[in-house]
Amino acid sequence: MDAHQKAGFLDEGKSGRGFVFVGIGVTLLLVGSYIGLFKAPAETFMGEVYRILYVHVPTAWNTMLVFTWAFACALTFLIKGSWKWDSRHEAAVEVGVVLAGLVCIQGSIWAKPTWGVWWDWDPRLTTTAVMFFGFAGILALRKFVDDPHKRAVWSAVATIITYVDVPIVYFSVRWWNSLHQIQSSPNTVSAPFLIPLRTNAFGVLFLWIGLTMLRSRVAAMRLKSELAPPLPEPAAAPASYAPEAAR
Amino acid sequence: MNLPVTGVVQGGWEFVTAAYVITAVIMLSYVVSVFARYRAEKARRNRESGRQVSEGLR
Amino acid sequence: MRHLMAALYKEALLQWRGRAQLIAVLVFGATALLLFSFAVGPNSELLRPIAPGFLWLALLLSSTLTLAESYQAEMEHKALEGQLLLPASHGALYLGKALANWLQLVVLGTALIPIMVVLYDAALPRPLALIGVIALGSAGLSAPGTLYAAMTHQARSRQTLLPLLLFPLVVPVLIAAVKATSLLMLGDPMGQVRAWVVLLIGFDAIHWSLCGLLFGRVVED
Repeated sequence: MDAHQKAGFLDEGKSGRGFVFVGIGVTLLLVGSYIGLFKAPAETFMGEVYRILYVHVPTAWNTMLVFTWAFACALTFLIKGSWKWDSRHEAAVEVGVVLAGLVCIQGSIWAKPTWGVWWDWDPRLTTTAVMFFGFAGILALRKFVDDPHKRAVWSAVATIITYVDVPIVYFSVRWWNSLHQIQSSPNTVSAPFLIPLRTNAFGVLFLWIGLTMLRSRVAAMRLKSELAPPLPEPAAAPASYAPEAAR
Repeated sequence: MNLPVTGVVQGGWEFVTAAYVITAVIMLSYVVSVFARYRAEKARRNRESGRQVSEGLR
Repeated sequence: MRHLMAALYKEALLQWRGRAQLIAVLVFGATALLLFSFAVGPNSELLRPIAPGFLWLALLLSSTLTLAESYQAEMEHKALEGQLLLPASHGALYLGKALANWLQLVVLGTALIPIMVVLYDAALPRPLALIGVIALGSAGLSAPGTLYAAMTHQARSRQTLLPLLLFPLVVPVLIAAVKATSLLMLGDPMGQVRAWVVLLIGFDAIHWSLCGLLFGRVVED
């Protein structure tokens, strides 16, 4: 695979865009959270606790988006064989794992005051937990495989299988849990609640897009040095060839 | 119970604070880690291409 | 088809020759069942309803051993390269291995049933249906397990990596198989077993085809 010519794709120019996106994302999150915490009115039944949803729901939406993007990157890599999609895949899985873990923590903190328990096997939250473990396993797979080609192909295959499994996990947990309790989900949201929700949703969106851009470059740069290893330290190099080559 | 029963969940600000603080900490730590790794990779790459230039290969 | 039979025959032969290993895994599974009972306490009232769960946990843990073991020849003698040189398709190779692993798990699961009955004082009103559920659940473990074992036997930290990858994936199998087993053993007044069996069949159909398709990419160089 004449891949090292192609591996240099992600590090030319345009690196500023990633930082900009992260900046926009953080700003939106600060604004949205401020409105959500201090400006939006208290909710009818849940009092102040519902404000957790202003970070929890946007993070949850975006987690699904990131993993879908990871799936697309994995598929594209398998079809096209271009290394840049492997780098993007790695970045997407990592960011997705971080977000998924965050969703589980937020969901747990939300569950305690509302349902009285730290974990309630809510289908969506449980599916997110399974996604967290599944994709964390794929990160481990990438860590423990040294050959870059195998690493790329195997983790792409694993991502495809894991992602296809997600709806199956969701339905099986839903049936399983429905026998035990009635689900209550925060569904209809009225206008004053939507603004901080949407702001934060876009905030997390810009944040993860920026992060995956930067993280992809990190992966690409590492990959490049893996595929075409740099020269050893010049300390022991014989004086014979170096000066000629410099002409 | 000495609190009036209103049908509304009382208090809970500590949970809200916990959720927001943990979210901020995790997100910020990850952002910093990505930035740090990016800088490190760039520096390493510049070091290596610098060496390759001095070796006369570029 | 010929290739598939050849692959299957080879796997079965290897497993027959290594049947001491299967016995060892069976003992492992039985020990696991015993240890689970210690975790709960010597109370048959408590143990009886969770016996199905323990059975499937024991089978799941045992599967990591048998799945990894099925690639022993590939690992020690680099047999995979030889197989790939043969004119057999990747699909046939995959099916041969996956079917052999499935068979092994069915034997294992069925052998664990009497141990479960004894340790947890479990009832067996529908033993054949139970073996059917074990067959369906084992198929769900074998399909992705064979694929992942093909990857992990060449990686570092292979013993940790296989369960790490497999367990989150087979959550639906665990849920459905335990529910179905539980309903078969403890009574099913509302006829829910069918729904769980359908879920298992769906999972098996999706994963046997998907993993079969992707196996070629995993083993090629």
